[in-house]
Amino acid sequence: MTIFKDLFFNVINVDIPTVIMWLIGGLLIYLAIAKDMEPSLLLPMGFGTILVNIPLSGAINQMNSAGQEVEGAIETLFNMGIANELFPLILFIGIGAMIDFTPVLANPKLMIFGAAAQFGIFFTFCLANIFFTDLEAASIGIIGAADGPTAIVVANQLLGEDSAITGAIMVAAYSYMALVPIIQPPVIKMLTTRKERLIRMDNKNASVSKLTKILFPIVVTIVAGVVAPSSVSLIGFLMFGNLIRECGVLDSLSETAQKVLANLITIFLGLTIACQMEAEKFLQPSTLLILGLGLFAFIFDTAGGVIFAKILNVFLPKDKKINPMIGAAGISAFPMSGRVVHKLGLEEDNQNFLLMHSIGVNVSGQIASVIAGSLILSFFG
Amino acid sequence: MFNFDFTFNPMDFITSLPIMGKGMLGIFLVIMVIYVTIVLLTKIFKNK
Repeated sequence: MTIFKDLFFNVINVDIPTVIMWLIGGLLIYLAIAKDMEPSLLLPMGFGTILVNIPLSGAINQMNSAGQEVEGAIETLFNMGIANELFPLILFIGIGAMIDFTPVLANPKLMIFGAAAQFGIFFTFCLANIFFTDLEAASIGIIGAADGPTAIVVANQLLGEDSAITGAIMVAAYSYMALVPIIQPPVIKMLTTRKERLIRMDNKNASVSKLTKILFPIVVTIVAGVVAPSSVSLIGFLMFGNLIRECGVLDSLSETAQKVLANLITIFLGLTIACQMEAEKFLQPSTLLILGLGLFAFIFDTAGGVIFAKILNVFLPKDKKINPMIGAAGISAFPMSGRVVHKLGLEEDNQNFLLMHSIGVNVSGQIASVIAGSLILSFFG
Repeated sequence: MFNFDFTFNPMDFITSLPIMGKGMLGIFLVIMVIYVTIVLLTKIFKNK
């Protein structure tokens, strides 16, 4: 009997919240594998959620029988990589190296839609302010950046890693990014007529010189950095990655940043975020509210981009009209949102190729979302 | 275990609208500066 007692003493520590968190972890793993939703993040997050919610889990800090704190591996990784924002910023180097800004450099007018589609961030901030404090509302609003690393950096800087709602914000940011193909189409269709969705746009490609591509990340860093100096690392790391890609003399570094570095950090990031998914912190009514507000942020981002394009169309000549669907790609969530819009265009007219425009708006959204994060940090940091 | 401590103040929506305006204006301004810079860069260094 004593052997059984020794071996299974932890079973009595399994309570209902623990089981709920295991199920949530299982759901994330299911969505990753069966539905192919952001598997590189949702799978480690799901597994990490199970890992940290095992009673007396050695993965997170615990008190031993002598009353001393024993450091857990995941919590150590969290303190080393997320609490100080190192992982998301390093991931930005990889993302920057992955992004080709040519479509937006060839047609810079598209940048304006990236700005318009950040409406959801600030509208959600106003909505969240009804229930939460300014800092919490700003951190919830940034879910609308549709950019995980930005959400982590902003939430961490504004709330600190010990906040009860940081975990929910991170989960919402990544889950909704995965759900972009489900969230955006109905919103776009609701706000546009079939006639508008059929608008064809000029596909001629202006060539962009190599020097412009090299100067672009440097200029963007300086401009955005001067406006929001406290958060220059956000845009700086993204643009540094892009400079590695475009300079033409660091191909092996660019390839490493795009693949090995980004993959490595993604593994650690996903697993480590789960540190915020302990039952006590996560199973709160506020979590549901944050998930709801996050959904609002994505919807209003999409609506902001589409409605802005419709307003512009009022002033444009008949042959220069913009397909308002491309405004929705300004939500960031690169490159998924650009592809969603392109696919919607093809559904309406199989000869209407919007990819160049939607990806151009999409990369603009990536820059604009980082600028939005920077501005929020400037306002509240 | 539940920590239902958030407040409900609908007026806070109104009072936070100026921040929304400031934020959107800020993004548009930064994007416009970047836009102008790109246009200039493209014109100066266009492929011959």
